[in-house]
Amino acid sequence: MNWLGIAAMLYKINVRAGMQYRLNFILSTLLAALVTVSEFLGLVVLLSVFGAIRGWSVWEIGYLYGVLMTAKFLYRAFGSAINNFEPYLVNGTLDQLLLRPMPLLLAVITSRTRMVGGELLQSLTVLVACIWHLLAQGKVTWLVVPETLLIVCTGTVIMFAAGLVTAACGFWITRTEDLSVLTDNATTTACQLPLSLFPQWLRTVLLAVIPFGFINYVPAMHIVRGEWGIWTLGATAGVAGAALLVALGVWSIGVTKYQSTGS
Amino acid sequence: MVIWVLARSMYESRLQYSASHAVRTVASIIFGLIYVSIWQGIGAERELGSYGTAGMVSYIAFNQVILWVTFTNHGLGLEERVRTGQIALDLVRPLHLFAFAASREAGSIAYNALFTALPLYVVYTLSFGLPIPQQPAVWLWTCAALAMGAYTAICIAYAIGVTALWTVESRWFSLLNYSVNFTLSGFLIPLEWMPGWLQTIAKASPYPIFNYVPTRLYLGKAGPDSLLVPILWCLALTLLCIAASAAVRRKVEVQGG
Repeated sequence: MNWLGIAAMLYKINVRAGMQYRLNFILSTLLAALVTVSEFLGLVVLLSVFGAIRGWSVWEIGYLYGVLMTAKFLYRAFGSAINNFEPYLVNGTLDQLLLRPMPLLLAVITSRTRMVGGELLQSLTVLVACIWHLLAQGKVTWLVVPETLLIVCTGTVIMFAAGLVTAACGFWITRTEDLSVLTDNATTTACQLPLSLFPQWLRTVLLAVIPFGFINYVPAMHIVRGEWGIWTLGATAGVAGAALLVALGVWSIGVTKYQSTGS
Repeated sequence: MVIWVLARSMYESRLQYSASHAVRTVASIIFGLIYVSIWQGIGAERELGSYGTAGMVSYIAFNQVILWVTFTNHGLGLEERVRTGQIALDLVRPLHLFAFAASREAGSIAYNALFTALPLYVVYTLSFGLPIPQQPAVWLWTCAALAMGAYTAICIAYAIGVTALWTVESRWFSLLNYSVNFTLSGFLIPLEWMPGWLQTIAKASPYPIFNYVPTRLYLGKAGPDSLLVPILWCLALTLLCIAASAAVRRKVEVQGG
């Protein structure tokens, strides 16, 4: 069995293990969906009261939100351990994974699985509804579908890369939870809206340092707004690939600095 | 006295992670900046009622400052205590479980107020021109509202924490609480601008005490009469927590061995 086969098997085991506590499983799935809906409600209320913001219509902003959150939940589905890596370092759990006869990163990723069905359903519903309206308004063509699929994939890679660098920082600083508030939560909150709303320095951070702007805003400037050229899709894929390579590099260096904290 | 010792011990334990906390404060400043930018964008194109753009910037900035006064740890840490069996020892202490958990959290909130809310207040006052009230009464009513907001947050977190005895994991209730709070507290948009049905829900919930009530008091847009409903919520939630504690005593079972 190759690594992918082993990873798939471990993923299935995690899913089954998670479903052992039935009440907890059902509740967490329902509540996760409710959480995302209620989080989205704040943005919906704002947009329903004021309509367009700086020339971006409700449906265009909804598209930004849909792409971003779909990428986020796809990342969380298989990268849950990376996203919540601090306990592995603080509790010394990583020691056990180091003993497994498989690449460490794969061992970490397959050590934990999060069910994201409810959240994905919400983000996809928003995304599909917005694409539908934009099609009906004639603002986009059916080309929007493959282009959106592409940027959801590249967006997931960018999210994973940012999460991996944050997790790898833990090899030096151990505590990464607050750092991830900065690199994940704050950036995700900002990118739910057009970057043009923000001051130049924040835009630069979101494009050049933590490139979440490439998850939705940059490609949307071509796909939805038609203001920038098709080069944005190539640039998006390039940024995603580069971010992944950098993240894997940082992770590799970080692993060599690991000092067990277990007792 | 015991309550004071518990609060102080939690406060001192939080002091151990100052570097990590500094990162969180920076993140919080950026969060506030994001929300302020949204309103500056909206205000650039239209009037913003009695608030005006500058008023809305102050509203959002002050909300971000006081967010940390009502921010509680997930379930007051009770989920972990249920999982490890520690809850059984907590219940035999000569101190009510609610008083025990609430005192510890009060120490954590005091830490948040000093090391996050205060720096944010200074930064936003300097960068966004957050107004500083001159009348002592405004400060008094705002502080009273914040104290009630913190107590309400502790009560809700306690009620969430004890559900771990029935559901094994109560983290999702906390996340739901935070996200509902985000909308119904008036954090992002004042209640009077919400659609009618949402206003009704918000006003029937305890959430406005977290942001809407103290911020309007601070900005001089409301008087002390706006504290009447929060007082009733504090009383009701105290009774709920006492009732929940009684249920916990009947339900508790020690896991592990």
